[in-house]
Amino acid sequence: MKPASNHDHHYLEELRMMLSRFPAGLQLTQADLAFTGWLFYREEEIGQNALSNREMISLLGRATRELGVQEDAAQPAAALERLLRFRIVRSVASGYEGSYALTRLGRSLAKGLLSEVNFTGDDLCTQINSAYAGMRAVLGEDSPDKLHDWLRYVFQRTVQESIDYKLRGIEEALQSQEQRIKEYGSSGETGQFETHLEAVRVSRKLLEELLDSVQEGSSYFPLIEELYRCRETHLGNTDLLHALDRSLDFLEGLKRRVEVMLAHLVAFIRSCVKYQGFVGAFSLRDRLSAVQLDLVRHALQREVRLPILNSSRPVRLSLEWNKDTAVQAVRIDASHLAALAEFIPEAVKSRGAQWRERFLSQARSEWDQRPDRDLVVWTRELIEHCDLELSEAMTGLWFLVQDMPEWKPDVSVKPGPGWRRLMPGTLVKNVTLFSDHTRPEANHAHG
Amino acid sequence: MLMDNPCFVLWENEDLSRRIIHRMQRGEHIDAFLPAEFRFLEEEGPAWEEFFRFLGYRLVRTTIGEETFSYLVSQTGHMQPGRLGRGATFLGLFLSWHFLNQGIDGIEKVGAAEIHEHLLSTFDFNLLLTIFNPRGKHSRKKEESERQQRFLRDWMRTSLNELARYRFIEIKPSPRADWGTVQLYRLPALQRFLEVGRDLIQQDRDFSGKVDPEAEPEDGFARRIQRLWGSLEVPEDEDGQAPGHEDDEDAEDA
Repeated sequence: MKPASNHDHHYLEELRMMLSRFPAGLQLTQADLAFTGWLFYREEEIGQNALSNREMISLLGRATRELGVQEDAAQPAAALERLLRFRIVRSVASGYEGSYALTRLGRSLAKGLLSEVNFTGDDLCTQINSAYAGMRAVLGEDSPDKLHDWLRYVFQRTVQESIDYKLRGIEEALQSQEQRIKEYGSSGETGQFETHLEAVRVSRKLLEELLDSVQEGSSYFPLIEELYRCRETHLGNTDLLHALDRSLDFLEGLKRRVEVMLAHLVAFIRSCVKYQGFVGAFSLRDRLSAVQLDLVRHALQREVRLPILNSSRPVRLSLEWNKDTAVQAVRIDASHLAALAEFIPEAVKSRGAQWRERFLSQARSEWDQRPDRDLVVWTRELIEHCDLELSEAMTGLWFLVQDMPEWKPDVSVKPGPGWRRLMPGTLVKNVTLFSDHTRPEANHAHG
Repeated sequence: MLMDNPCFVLWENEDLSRRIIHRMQRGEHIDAFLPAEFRFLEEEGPAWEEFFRFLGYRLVRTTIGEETFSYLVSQTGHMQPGRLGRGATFLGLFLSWHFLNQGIDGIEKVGAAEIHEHLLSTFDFNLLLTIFNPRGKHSRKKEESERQQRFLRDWMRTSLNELARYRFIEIKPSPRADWGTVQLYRLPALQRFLEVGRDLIQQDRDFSGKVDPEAEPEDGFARRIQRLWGSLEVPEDEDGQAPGHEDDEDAEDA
């Protein structure tokens, strides 16, 4: 691509002139730049554009003190000399002897520098807002070429650069704060540590504001949406698409950067607070450290053991399978399941016996006839009468006892000698239990 | 009886309550890194105190610095008082000292290998062996061979695991990870190892710091450890000072 030669020639001429004017370049030190800015503000403030030699020297001296510029670079007279040599300042012939003013170069240099370095003047939110407004204006013209130009020459240059500067400025400020805090943290006084902690808190506030500017309510998201929309409508235009993508990337990156900074800073502040909590007051730390080291040495020589709760562990079930039997698949067989469905457990044996009714009716009728009987003899008679084994006698007796409350006339018990009351309603005769064939003879009766 | 108590609150979340009870009875320290347990303990502090008193423990809640943690102390003689191993205690003391000296950088963690090196270069190898060797006294003077170093390292690892079990520290990425990659993270409870030192300083200040700097420390340590951590260094002929001593006194008072 060849630019118009006429245009080209114009630039070349200007650049050549500049080279001849600054054969040694501009060898300005940090202090010189600061002085230039100082003079610029001073000029703006009082609207007087010429200063006498004495005023100039005292002004530079004050700047040195207040800005804390390094001493050797800032001998006022020498500084003035340098500024003159680089044509930042010129001497004005206006009646006074030796009076000075900023040159056009000096003024524009200061202006440019200060607007670049000015981080707080326009906050991020404003810049994004104005970018959004600019974009709306360009979109209103409905020309892809203009949009492309705006994106490439305005958004990706001016806007991006100023936002970059701003972020970098904050990053650097935070870093230096951290550095200082760490220095104080490892060898410092409580008071100063507090001051710096406070400083970090202020920085965090600033950063939170920044985050706010890329959150809801700012133009950040509308801007992104607008860009995406353009991207969809101009899918065919490769150049524009490229520019749009780059702009989107930049905006995403911006958000990420702010978030990372914030997270980092929050973590750092937290660790500061924690550290202080752990260590306690700083004046005590060294003492405590020494004592603790002595204690460690002490523990080296003698047995020291911290008391803890004796671990009464809850019961823990641990299944340690043999490797071979560990994983045996369980198979369910359909036929087994069917068999299971048909399984009905055997009925529990009842105390009932087939001869119960026969036995009891016999007993009742006999009782009706003669309600006065010796229980043992009578039971035997009944057993014999019903053709039962003698071994069924206990069961028979049990049936009798259960049935007695129903009988008419009522049954009452006359205890013989040696009977005792086991509990209310129960009489027991004392017997001794032997291992061989001695059947315990105990009879119950409800009273 | 419990039903009438404020303790009843603790049954509203049985699962969590059970977890707290088991952890604490296991001797673990509960700190903010166990968020659910910690919050429950904090919010229902009195109820938990009451509950653990009922079980025969005292719930200790410590807020040294701005870090809160809780643990149990047995108050009845029913349970044999537990002791951290000698090696673990030593490591705890050393680690708390290490973190005390750190700047803000790396305050939370330190490499296990780094601590190992530090110990080896600071203290006599044979003394370290005596401390960490689980068989204790029987070790004779050993040469600092590679084999012995490996032993020492493994014993240290056991002690570290012991510390981690009671939540004094946390071992990452895992207790069994390669030694070079093991990182030890400080947990709030590690502050317990500073108790004795803090107490000593506190006392010194109360008595305007006029303590004989030469003779005191050793004796002071022994006495304070005795007082703060129970009777730890009982010479074998003084059986009257056995661990149950404090409880007996309590019983007499009652």
